[in-house]
Amino acid sequence: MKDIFKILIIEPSVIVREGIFKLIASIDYKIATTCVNSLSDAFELAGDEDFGMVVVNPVLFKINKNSFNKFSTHFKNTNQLGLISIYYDRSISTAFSDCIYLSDDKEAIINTISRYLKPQLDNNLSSDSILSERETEVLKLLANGKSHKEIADNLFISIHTVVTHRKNISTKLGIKSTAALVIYAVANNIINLNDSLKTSV
Amino acid sequence: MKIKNYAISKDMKMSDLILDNHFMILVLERFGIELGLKNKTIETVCRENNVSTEVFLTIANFQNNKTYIPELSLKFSAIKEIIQYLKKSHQYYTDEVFPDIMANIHLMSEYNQKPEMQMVERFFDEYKREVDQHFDYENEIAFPYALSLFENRKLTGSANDYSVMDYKEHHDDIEAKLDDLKKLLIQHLPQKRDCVIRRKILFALFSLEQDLVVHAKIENDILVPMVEKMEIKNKA
Repeated sequence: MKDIFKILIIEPSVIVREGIFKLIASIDYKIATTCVNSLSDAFELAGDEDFGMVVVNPVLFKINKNSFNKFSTHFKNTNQLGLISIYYDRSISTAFSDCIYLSDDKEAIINTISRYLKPQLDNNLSSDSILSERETEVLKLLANGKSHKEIADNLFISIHTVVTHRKNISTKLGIKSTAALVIYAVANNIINLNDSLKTSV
Repeated sequence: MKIKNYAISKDMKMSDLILDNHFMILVLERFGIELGLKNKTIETVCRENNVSTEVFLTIANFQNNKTYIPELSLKFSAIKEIIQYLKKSHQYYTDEVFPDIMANIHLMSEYNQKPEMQMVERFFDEYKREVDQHFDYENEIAFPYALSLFENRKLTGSANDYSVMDYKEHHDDIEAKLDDLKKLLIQHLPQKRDCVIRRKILFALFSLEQDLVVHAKIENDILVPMVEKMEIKNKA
């Protein structure tokens, strides 16, 4: 489960970049901050990681609306905050969710950022991580010592599907090894030790 | 988790090191350095105990800061001290940590008499056996192989079976099992009169885990690159 909030800072000035990085580090929240100095570097990262917030200095758009639109598309599901240093075009700054100004004091900056902090939950996971009926069936067979192939035959699904279920079970429960999954299954009455002849741990 | 960002240097007081991070007590012990450190610097303490300051600093920095990147300027002769250090760690886990945790897990299954608790006992026993096997592999195959490279002599028999790949795989597996056990105790197994004992077990598991991470890093990031360098040098 991802409970770290990811922030990307795009700022050409090292002084400002390091400064805002330090300020964010002082916020009492699990935050991973990445700093880059150009839009091209930021776009590269946008594909690989999902950021909860991106803080950008609009000077990088060089008074170019297209450049801003391109940025906006790359980070369309992310809170976009402007970091206003010298020049700014009002119409761009209103396009941001919020703005940080160089003249802001520490509290104001932290307040602005904190407004957008929230746990980034994995979309495929329900927060309570309960196993689905199918997953419970797979776990039951697995805990009874059945191989992936046997489980596939038993449930009329492909081995590939079994492996996927198995992966999802591990992600939901936070448990990787079969032996530990067996213990989980017993503790939650998914299998009964007396029913299963001999469960090998 | 506290992340230390400063680098430890030879002029710092040895006692400060421990006051700042009590895990260092283990590091000192493994180097054979006794407490009663007065106000002596790291360099002085190391010299008095016949410990190479460079090796000590490398390992201490690792212990303090997991993201520390060692300067690989260590002389090949440091390999003896590093292996000695790793062997001492193995001894600590095998003789002290594992039996303690095992005894507490046994006690827990008596307080909380459920079949899954007995299974936890077997789970840890199995884990312990795997780790001991890995340690045996290191003590009997990997370390002698590394030493033979340093002394540039040929080995016969099982010590030739060394492979860096096995090494890495073992480490990952050891970490995963320990993590599973923590998750079971924290998330999945309800408590029943075993609160105190389970807390003790978890505290022990967390320290063990933290120590094992550094242990594996010393092997992967110091020992293995050294072995690879020596292999190249000996071939030349």
